[in-house]
Amino acid sequence: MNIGSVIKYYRTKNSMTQLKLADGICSISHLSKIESNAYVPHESTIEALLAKMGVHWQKEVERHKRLERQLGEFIDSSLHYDLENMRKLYYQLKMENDYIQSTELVNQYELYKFRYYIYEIDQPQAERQKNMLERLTGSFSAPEKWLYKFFLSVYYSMLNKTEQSLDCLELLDQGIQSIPQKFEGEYYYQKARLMIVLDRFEVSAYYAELAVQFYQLHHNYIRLMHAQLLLAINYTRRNLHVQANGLYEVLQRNARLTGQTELFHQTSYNYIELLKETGEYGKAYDFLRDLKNSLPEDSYFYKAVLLSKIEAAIESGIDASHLIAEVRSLLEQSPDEQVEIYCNYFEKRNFSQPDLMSYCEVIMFPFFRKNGYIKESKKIAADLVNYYQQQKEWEKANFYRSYYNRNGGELL
Amino acid sequence: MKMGKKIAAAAVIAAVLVGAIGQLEETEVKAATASQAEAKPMAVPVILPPL
Repeated sequence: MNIGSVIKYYRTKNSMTQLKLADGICSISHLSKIESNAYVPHESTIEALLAKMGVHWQKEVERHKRLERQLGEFIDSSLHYDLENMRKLYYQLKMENDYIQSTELVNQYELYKFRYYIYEIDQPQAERQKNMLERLTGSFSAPEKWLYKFFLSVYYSMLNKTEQSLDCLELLDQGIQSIPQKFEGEYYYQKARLMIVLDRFEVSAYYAELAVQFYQLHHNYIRLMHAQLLLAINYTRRNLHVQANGLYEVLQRNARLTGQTELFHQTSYNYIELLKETGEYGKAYDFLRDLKNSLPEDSYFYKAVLLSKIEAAIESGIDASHLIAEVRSLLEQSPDEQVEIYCNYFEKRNFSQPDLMSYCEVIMFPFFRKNGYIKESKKIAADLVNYYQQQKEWEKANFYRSYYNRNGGELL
Repeated sequence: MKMGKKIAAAAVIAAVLVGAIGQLEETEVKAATASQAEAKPMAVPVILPPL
């Protein structure tokens, strides 16, 4: 506990000068040294200084211990994805915000607040916190600097700034020793998650497996399920259908038993992708109907389910026009360029190939590229390569081929 | 050339040939996997577990 900072906190709170507080207790230069934590005074001096401002020393020690405990719990909740507890502690700690600023707990507190805003997907607050932390970096210890970079990477992931997120994450990958022990699982998890977005399934599966092992070992069950879902998505994409199916079964049961409704829905959505991979479009369509009914209409997830249902309908020969109309009416209420692009794509897939390809080239490819959707832009590039090769337009085919190759390498 | 040496030389050639065929097969498998991945239609947006 930095007692000097606490004394300074109460002195400024009581609008007292150093001269007035030191009077009769110690010299001004002595008090100045105490306040800058350059010197630890005798207990009787501390008591006298605090008593002059009406503060009880022992109570102060207890308050500090309580805050330390609450902050520790806040951090633990963050690592275990216990958002409910984190939310409760956030408000408790917020009440003591000014006081915490005067203690050595401040860096940890501000760092985990940043993580909290990212969990809550509170973009404006997270941005403000990021700017504030940038000013604090000078006072960070080595593990705090690591943590800041790590949270920054997660922050960029939240904003879909995949490349920036990866840049931050790779800086932290300087050998296993540099990863703080309790953050190993989180590090592997975020890396696996990012690699899925980047369409690098081999690497992603490697990190997802490491995350699963870590969370299993540390009995971190909710995060374990998250890592298992990443692994199942990877298995699906790598055509390991039996393994993916086994994991989805476990996940659906455990997500239901632990009351993780959102995770249960996310698992179902990805399980449906597995059904589509194995050509079971009819079954996928039925599952999507149930899933759609249990989601709020204004969510992005709901729109994604609708798009998935359009795809399943088209593939199993069911009329999708009512679903397309539903997406269009939702887009009128809340426009979403990405959803609109997908909707147009599925609609055009029923018609002529040249029309679809020109839409892919003029609208979809630039959109996905600009917004950092690497997997999607690679997919479009691959389609365009095939198309232009058939058309014998080698220059264009080559352009998209080189884009595909540039973004397609497996990086470890 | 002695018989033993001839057999050894033949074994080396055979091993090289088997290796080359193996490599060719591997390339074909890789090429098939790549074009299969490219031939799939555009997938719907991915929904990932939380950050």
